[in-house]
Amino acid sequence: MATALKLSTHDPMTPRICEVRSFRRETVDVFTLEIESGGIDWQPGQFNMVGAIGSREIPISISGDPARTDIWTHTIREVGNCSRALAHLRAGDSVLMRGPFGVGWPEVEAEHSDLLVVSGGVGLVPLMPTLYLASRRPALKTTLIYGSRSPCDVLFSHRLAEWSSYPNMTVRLTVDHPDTDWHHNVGLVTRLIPTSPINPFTTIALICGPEVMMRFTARELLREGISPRSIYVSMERNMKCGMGLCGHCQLRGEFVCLSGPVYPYDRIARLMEIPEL
Amino acid sequence: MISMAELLSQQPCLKELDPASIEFMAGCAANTFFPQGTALLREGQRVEKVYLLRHGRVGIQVHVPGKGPKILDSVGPGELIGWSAFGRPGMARMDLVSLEDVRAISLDAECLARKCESDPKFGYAMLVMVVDVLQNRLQSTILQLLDLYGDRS
Ligand SMILES: Cc1cc2nc3c(=O)[nH]c(=O)nc-3n(C[C@H](O)[C@H](O)[C@H](O)COP(=O)(O)OP(=O)(O)OC[C@H]3O[C@@H](n4cnc5c(N)ncnc54)[C@H](O)[C@@H]3O)c2cc1C
Ligand code: FES
Repeated sequence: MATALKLSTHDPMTPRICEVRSFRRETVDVFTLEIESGGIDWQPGQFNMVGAIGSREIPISISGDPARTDIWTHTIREVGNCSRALAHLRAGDSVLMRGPFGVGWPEVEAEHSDLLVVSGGVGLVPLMPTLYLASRRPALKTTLIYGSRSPCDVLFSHRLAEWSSYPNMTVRLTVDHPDTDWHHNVGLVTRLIPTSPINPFTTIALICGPEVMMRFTARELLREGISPRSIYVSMERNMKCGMGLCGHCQLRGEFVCLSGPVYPYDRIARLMEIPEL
Repeated sequence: MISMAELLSQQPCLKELDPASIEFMAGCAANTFFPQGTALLREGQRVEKVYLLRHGRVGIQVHVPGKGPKILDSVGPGELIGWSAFGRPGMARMDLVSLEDVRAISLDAECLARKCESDPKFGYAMLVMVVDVLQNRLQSTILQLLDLYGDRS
């Protein structure tokens, strides 16, 4: 990343007060905040603890283009008190930020000439930085399979339409509940895997979405012959400290905020199969 | 020109079939084209052909009284439709409508059934292939019922 970037020297437990640069509504219950970052270095797949003043902090992935070093981009779905409080912020407002935290997506190494990204719902958010990078690597054949509930829930549709015109990028969209104008696929993301051009020896697969979707997607990819070491998933657990101190995010021996949220499938598969976890 | 057997061998859902079975199957196959908006099958109709899609997508839809047709699923290149031909009484359970111009390989259901009966090894390979297709569709339908993206919990 550019040399102008710097590592945070700030106490990671003390939130920084940052300025919101813009608010954009993406869908009826999803919005994007651009927040001044102070040029702090980050990796695709990492997250920040974000909180409106007077409200609890919540973990939110960084969704922007890594080339934009001056801002954090966070795309958030309104599900409860804290995410709703963030939805009231507008340009010029202050927001509390800690981070970035966690282990992000692996760098796509030279031996991988194919990148397969499978995402569902807001699970596309943490994968966006990787997709921005992939869009600038013409030699990397990238396929995005993205599932949403309905056409009006599809995130970043303009960006996805632009990428689908790139020679190295294929974008396959699918929804559960189509309307009459929907011209893409219907059904779960797993349905599109057997008919996607996958070379199991050169493909690295990144998955993010509801845990059930990730489990079934990973199994489908294994059936296609992809090694579990070349499959990565991003796990979601409740988080509080974000840095391995409180145990809120613990998944057996793993502190998801510290050793995750992104894991190679061979490391996490066993834990994903245990219903109690 | 590419032979029918070669075309069949390129279909993902037939990748487990050996060359002899593919050659055997080719005797029941023909190329076919449906312009966008064509009903390949209507609910209740006898299914005479199984289709392997090569280009374009087909919507699987039901007609909901008062609401019109509702697409529940779509099937695209590399996938198989019309498997009700293998069941009894071989009736379409839902409408199949081309959502785009569709190129497909059609397999005559009666011809396939005769081949399955005359060569049990081929018949078993076909059974495994159809069960695989059904298993995928069923899994996808069950997961859709969970409304995974609506309620993230
Ligand atoms: C590493 C990480 C990265 C994340 N990145 C993003 C992101 O980029 N964008 C985004 O919108 N969300 C993201 N999340 C999820 C986000 O943190 C939660 O949605 C948030 O904590 C909800 O807080 P709340 O107070 O608004 O809702 P709460 O009051 O905590 O919950 C309200 C309702 O939503 C449900 N809920 C809460 N959290 C989740 C969850 N994680 N998954 C499913 N259901 C949940 C609860 O069960 C409850 O029914 C991420 C989570 C993690 C762990
Ligand atoms: S959130 Fe506190 S240990 Fe992970």
